[in-house]
Order: sequence, then structure tokens, then C-alpha cells
Amino acid sequence: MTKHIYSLLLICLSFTGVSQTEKYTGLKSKGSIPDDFTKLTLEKIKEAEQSSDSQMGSKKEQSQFLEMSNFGVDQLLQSGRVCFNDTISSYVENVFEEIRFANKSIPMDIRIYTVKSPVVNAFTTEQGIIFINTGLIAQLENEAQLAFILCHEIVHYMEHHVMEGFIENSDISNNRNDYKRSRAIDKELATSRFSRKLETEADEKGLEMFLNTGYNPYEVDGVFDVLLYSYLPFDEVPFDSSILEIGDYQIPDNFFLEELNPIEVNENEDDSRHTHPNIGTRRRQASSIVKEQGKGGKNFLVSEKDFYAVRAAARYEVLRLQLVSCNYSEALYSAFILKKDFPENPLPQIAIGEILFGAAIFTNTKNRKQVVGYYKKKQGYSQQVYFLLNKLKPKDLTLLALRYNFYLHEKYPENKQVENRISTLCKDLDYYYDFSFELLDMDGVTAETNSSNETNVQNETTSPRKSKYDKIKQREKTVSKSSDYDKAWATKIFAGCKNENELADFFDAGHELAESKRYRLGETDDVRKNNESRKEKERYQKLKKRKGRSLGIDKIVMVDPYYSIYNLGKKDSHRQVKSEKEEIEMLSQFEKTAEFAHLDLEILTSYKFESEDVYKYNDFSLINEWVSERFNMENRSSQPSSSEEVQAMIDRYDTKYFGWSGVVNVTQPRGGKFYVALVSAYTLIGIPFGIYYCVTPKRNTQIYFALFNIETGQLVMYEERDLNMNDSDGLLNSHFYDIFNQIKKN
Amino acid sequence: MTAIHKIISKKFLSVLALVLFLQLNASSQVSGFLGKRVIVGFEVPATVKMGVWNDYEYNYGTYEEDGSFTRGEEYGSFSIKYKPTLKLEYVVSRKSSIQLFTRFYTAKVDAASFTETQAIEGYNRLNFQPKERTKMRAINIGLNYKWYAGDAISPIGVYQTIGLEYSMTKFLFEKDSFSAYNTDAPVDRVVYKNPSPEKSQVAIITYGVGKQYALGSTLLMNIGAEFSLPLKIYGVETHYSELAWAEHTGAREARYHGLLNLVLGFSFAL
Repeated sequence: MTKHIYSLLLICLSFTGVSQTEKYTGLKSKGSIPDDFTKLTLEKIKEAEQSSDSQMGSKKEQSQFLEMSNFGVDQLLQSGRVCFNDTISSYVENVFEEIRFANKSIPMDIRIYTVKSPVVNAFTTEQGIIFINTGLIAQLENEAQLAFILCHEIVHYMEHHVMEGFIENSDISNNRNDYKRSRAIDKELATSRFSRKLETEADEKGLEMFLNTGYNPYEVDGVFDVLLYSYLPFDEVPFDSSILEIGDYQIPDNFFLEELNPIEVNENEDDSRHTHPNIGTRRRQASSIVKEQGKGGKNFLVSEKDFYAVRAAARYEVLRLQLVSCNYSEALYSAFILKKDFPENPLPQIAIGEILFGAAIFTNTKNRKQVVGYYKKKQGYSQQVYFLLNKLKPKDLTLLALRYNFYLHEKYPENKQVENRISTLCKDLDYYYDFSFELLDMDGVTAETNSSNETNVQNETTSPRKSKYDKIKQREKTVSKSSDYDKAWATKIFAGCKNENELADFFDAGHELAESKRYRLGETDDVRKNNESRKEKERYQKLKKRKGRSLGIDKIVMVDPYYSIYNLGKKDSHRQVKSEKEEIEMLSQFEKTAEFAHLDLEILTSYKFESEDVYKYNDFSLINEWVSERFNMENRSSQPSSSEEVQAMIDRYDTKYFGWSGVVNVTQPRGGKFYVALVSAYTLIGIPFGIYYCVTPKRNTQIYFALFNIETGQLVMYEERDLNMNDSDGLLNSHFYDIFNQIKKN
Repeated sequence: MTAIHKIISKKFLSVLALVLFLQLNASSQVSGFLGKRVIVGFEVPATVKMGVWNDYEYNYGTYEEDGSFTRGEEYGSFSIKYKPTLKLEYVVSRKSSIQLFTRFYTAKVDAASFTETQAIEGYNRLNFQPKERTKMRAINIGLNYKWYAGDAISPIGVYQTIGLEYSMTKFLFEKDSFSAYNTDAPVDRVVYKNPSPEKSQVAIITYGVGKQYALGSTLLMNIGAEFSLPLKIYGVETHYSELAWAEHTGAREARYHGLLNLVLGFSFAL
């Protein structure tokens, strides 16, 4: 135990990203940007074609594969979700070096990047890139497990499994070789069977490679536990509701399940339609080899300390990603675990404030299920969290969120984000529930006790530290709860609060905001005011349509503009090669058009990064996450979790206005050609029109543009234009000039 | 003095128009095409005349003294008429523009002579009998209000126009051929006369739909259809009135050549 606490302390001291005092700000890439991120996909394909000496498949299939795989991989590389030379990637590279040291045949061109994703997964590409998800690192128990996973992925690359799978799938879908008269179901089974064959080969050869290293071969079994229970959170700890309770109040027992679902998973499930063999089969195959050939080894060769630091970073990253995707039940459970592991770090607490806030505002707009999920089929201790967030009454949840955030405000008064959340919650209480400060019971204290939970938690905390997988195997049932509770418990949660006056001020400000919302929506008690509001809105809409907006902004940063061309008349409808060419052309047109409109425009996109622009890459990654969360929250809140971090970007780019834009061009065959031809021939004069209609396809161009003030989170401008025209330069220039002009003019 | 006054007026009006134009441009609140709000263009509306709209059958020829009829030149009932148009468009707002245009076209119309028949019961009756086709020349000027539908912004995309056009027509009679008919006419019963007056004017209301494309940073192309209707409608009696003939024929031709026009145009944004 002492050893464990000591090592934990070391982790906290050594890993600045997850220290007890500093705030974790997400994974950051470091060093030079690798070519994988900046080179055009077309260039990569050309280079691959020139250097390819593969004998697999026909020339056409090879060409199709290169296009498909390069565009697929680049989509991920250019999304900002991939990190290079970051804490996790660097550590994984060290483990990779250990494997290569023991296996000289491993090629030198393998690159390892970390994907910011909560999904438990790792995968390889034909280009020699191994992607490791943060979700996988967060679940691992030791370095040896990571090493086996890397060995498995290295084999996939060395044996060209990705290309082999593509060629086989191509044969299956085109009824070639053995699949000439196959039924659809047989084809599907054949595809899965082939994929399982490759996975088995990767397991076998990977294990061979792994056994050459000095890692503990018996940890391979642990990898299969990681995969088997990957649907559960990264740890299994009884949920302690006291982390939500500030002061003397307690959440009534009724909001906790009497009995949780058992953790049940069949590792020998039917895998005939799966891409991987079932865990049982893989475990047995690996175990028999390990028993035969396995010798002793270590769980850690690079550094145990670094492993835990990296895993902690991955877990923080998972929490952050859960927040970004507004997955609040999972996030609350993650925050709970992290708060237990790192009690002094402010991030889990701040995250809990945000989780409660997010759950409350979505619940108030009747979208609770969208962000808290369903609890009935959940397994493990996290089911308690799902149940709690599902069952709390909307007003009580809002009050709970307010209480928690007010506590955070008292603790971190400089945090503007928390302040904004409090105002929004007070507004919601006034707007949805007519709840004012006077209705709070500042003296009452709920007398409920939550002994059952406490007992469980004490048992957990006093017992020696176990892994998630030990806990799953030894889990006890939870104790039943009482049925009666004080229905007004939530109104008493501010009992003992010392800053009553400040709270009252927040309620007053919330009332003002609610009144202004009522006026805006024409929902006040005064009919005259409602009419006035409606007319004002109509006037504004008319003016906006006729003259456009006049935002008076001098500079904007446009993030990752995209261009997608689809031809629905073709089998492979996404024209990726053409899309990339048009995208590059569009970027240069943007610059010219912005010049016409006298708007200072900076474009943040991977094509434009130089190798030394790593800070831009990190900004690109951060701002994309920011906007993703902002869109997930819709108009409920304008303050995503990463708002504080993006403030620094305002100084770097000298503007607080960041825009996202895209163009989608769709070509599709026209319908009713026969009738049009008939009518046009009959009327004679309509013949030219008839010919035009029958000969040309229908073309449609959609333009999207969103401009945010990242300081306030406000959506300053949103345009969605659907044009029944082809995507000529003139059309796009005209529309983007219109957009830029509206941004620039006063 | 009158001439000097006219010149001063024209200059004054031109300067005023220029000042107004610059004023409007300076306080620009609309996008235009890459900021360009003035568009000069050339357009060719074409109409197909298929004969089905004619209100009588062609019967060109002359009656001989013995009452027999000699057929004249045969004219096909199907013809395509082009009306070259110059236009000046000014983008007023994101969704609309105004268009000043002038167009010119010529046509052959049935205009030979009137036959004055001596009536039995004390009054004369004029019978219109086409003997020949004569040339009609029309110059139109007009003003269109053009607005853009859906998400289109002026001046690119699907548009509709509504406008007023003023058409001035002139009939160019070949008098020599008419005098020949006069000579041959029976003196006691029939008198041949050229129609008079030879000019007419008519107001036309127009409606159009179309699509304007950008072919380059300054070049635009539009295709569409235009429907127009002259504001003068004549009863059966006026059809055969000598005095109303010019106006009637001008309006009728405007109807023939304007009921449905297919439009193809090119313009430059300045």
C-alpha cells in the first residue's frame, strides 16, 4: 500500500499534465509536424504508386486501394484528433523500440501516433502508421500489455493485412474466384471469416514477436481481459454520491439503485459475423503458446512510473472527450474515479461542475436522454450514475448543478466559465420553473444518511488496490435503499451557504436573462410587448435578407475548410481526388475573395502547416474540439469545456472570430426524362430545354459557414445555402464574397 | 434655343445620373458580384412564331378585274425572331437589382392597303385586305425589377423579373408597289389607300424567369424565358379601322413576338 502511494506520488510529481495542482489541458503534439500530416493525399498516392512493388491484386485494384486507404487515413490525420510526439506517443514509441530491439526484422518506417478517442482500439495502416487510441491506454494495466498490442499491430503492417483484406473483399463483392455464385449472406460470412483469419495470424505472429522481448508473457491474458471488458469504464469503483454533496445535504437514497446489473459477458460468443475471433478463442490460442514457449519477464521495461503517468493522461483525455461529446453519465463516472485518484487536482471537480450543468440544461430543454443515456442495460458501478442522472427531477438537477457550481465559484472565483454557468442555471430556474432565490431554504438540512454507499466505499478504499479486472471478478451486490425521502431536499441544498448575497445577485441576474428570453420569444405576460418583439424580429429578418449583416469584424480565422464532391450516379459516389483538388483551389480563392472584401483572413488547415508550425497544429486540434462541443450543446450554452484554453488563441491570432466552412457539390441523374422529352417535343419551343434536361445531370451546391466568437462562445453568423447550380468558381466566389462582406462591413 | 436647351438637359441629366450612381456605390451595403454592382450586358431574346397564334389566314395576292385571285409570294408561318437587347443592371440589394434595357427588332407585317367598298345603303365600309407584307421596325426601352429566389444572391442564381417596356414601331411602306394596285383597281367601286399613320407606340408589361451563371470573375451568362403582354387590346371593329391600324398592328406584333421569348445573354460586371 505504502509502495503504491509512493509510486502514485511520483507519478503526480513527474507528470506535469496531471499533477495535483496544475490543470490538465489535453494532449499536445510536440516537435516538427511529420509529413504524414501536411502532405497532400494526391502526392502520397503518387509516391506510393511509384514505389510500389506489390504483387497483390491487379493494377486497378492496387490503384483503388491506394486511393481508398490514403484518403481514409488522411481524413483522420487531418482531423486534429491525432497527436504526434506527445506524452503518450513518445512513451509508446519507447515501448516499440524495446520490441524492435528484440525483433530486428521490424521495418524502420513505422510511425506511432495517438488518437484522441475514448474507444478501446488500436489499428495499423498500409502506410506504416500505428494509431493507438487514448481509450485503450486508459484501460491497460501495464506496459507488457501495451507491448503485445503493438506486436499484433506490427504484424498487420508487415504482412500487408490491410491490402490483403481489401483485395479479398474486392473479390467477394465482384463475385470473383471462389465467390462466383455466392449468396449475399455467404459473402458476408466470407468477409468476416477472412478478417478473422488475418487477426489470428496477427495474434500468432505477434505473440512470437512478443515472446522475443523481455516482457512478461503471462500478461497477454490480461490484454484479453482489457478487450473483453472494454465496454466498461476504465475502473470499477462503487459510486460515492458524496462527491456531489457540498455542505450538509445528501442526495436521497431513492436516486440510487437497490441492485445493479451483474457484469456478464460471454467471451465464447458466436463470432461467425465478427471481424475478430471471440476473446475465448484468442485467449486459449495465446495461452497454449505462452505455456509452451513462455519464459519469465517483466511487466515494465521502459518505466513503470511513465506508464502510470501516461495512463493517467489518457484517462484525463477520456474524461475530456466525454465532456466534448456531452456524454455526461460516463463523464461523471470518469471524473469520480479521477477525483479519487487525484484528490487535489482541480480538473475532476471542475469537470463535475460542467457535467451537472450540461445534464441540467439538456434536461430543462427536454433532451436529457441525449446526454445521459439509458441506465437499464448498463453494467457495473457506473449504472448508478446513469440511474441518478436519469431520475433526478429536472428542477432538482438544476439546483444540484447550481449548488455545485456555486461551490466551485467560491473556490475558484477567477473562473469566468463557472460564473457563466451559474448565471445560466439561475436563468433556467426562473424561466422553466419560476424558481427564485426566496424559494430556497437556507436553513433546512436534509437528515438522510447514505450509510450503505459509505460502507461500500470504505470497503473499497481500505482494501488493497486491485485492478479493474480483479474488482469485476469480486464484485458484491449493493445494499437496498429506503423508499421515503424529503421531496423538497433540493431546495435545502444551499443550507449553510455563506455567500447568500452573492447568490441572490446571481438569481437577480438570472431573472433578467429569463425576462429577456421571454421577450425575445414573445412569451411575456404583456401582449403589446410580445407583438413588439415579434415585429422587431420580423424587421431584423427582412433587413438581414435584403442587406445582410454588418458585423464590422476586421479579421477572422477560418478553420479547416472542406470541399466534398459526390456523384450519386457512380458506384463510388465520393469523388475524393477531385474534392482535394477543388479544396486546394478553394483555399486560394478564399484568400483572393477576402482581399476583395478587405477582410483579413487566416486559414488554419493541415495543407498550410509548415513542419515547425506545431503550435498551429495544436490550436487547430483544440479549436476543432471546441467547436464540436459547442455544436453538441447547440444553443443551450455558449461555453464549451475548453473555453478557457481557447482564450490564449485570441492573443495568438489577434482575433476572437473563428469560422468553419464547407462546400458540398452533388451531381445526380435526373428523373422523368422520358416525360420531359415528350412534352418538350410536343410543344416544339421547349425542345432546347428538353435536350438540356435530358443530357445534363442535376447539380446542387451547398455552402455552409459558421462564425463563432470564441471568447463568448456566441454563434455570430450561420449560413446554410442550398443552390441548384454547379460549383463554379464564380458562384463560390460570389457567395463567399457575400459572406466576407457581411463580416467586414460596419 | 430649343436645341441648346435640349443639349444642356441631356448633359445635366447624364451628370446627375453619374453622381447618383457614384453616391449609391459609395454607400454600398450589398455584395454584388465580388463587390461589383454595375453590370452591362447583351441579351438575345428569341421568339418562335409558329402561325398558330395568327388570327386570320394569310392570303397574299391580288384580285383581277374578272374577279379571279392571283396568289402572291408564299410566306411560311414558322419563324424565329431575335430581339437584340442591351442592358444595364444595377444591384440594389443582396436579393434584387434593377435593369434598364433597350431592344431593337424588325418584322414583316401584313400591311398592303385598305379597300374602300361603296356600300349600297348609304355608308362606306373599309375592308382590310392584305396584299403585301411591309417592314416594321421596333425600338423598345424598358425597366425591369429583378429579384433572386431562395438562397441565391444577386446577381447569380435563379431570378424572376417584372417590368414595363415601351415599344415604338414604325412601318416602312414601299409606296410604289401600292400605286400599282391603285392603277389596277376598278374606279367606281374600290379605292386603295396606304395605312396612316405610319407610327405607333405601345406599353408592354413583362414577366421573366431565368438563371444567371458566373463564367468568370467578371463574365456572367443568363438563360431564361420572358413573357410579355401589350397593354392595348382591340375589339373586332378597331381591327379594320384605318386610323387604328398602325397601333393595332404594332401591339399585335408585340404580342406575337413577346408572348414567350427564350433568353440567352452575356454580361460583364464592372
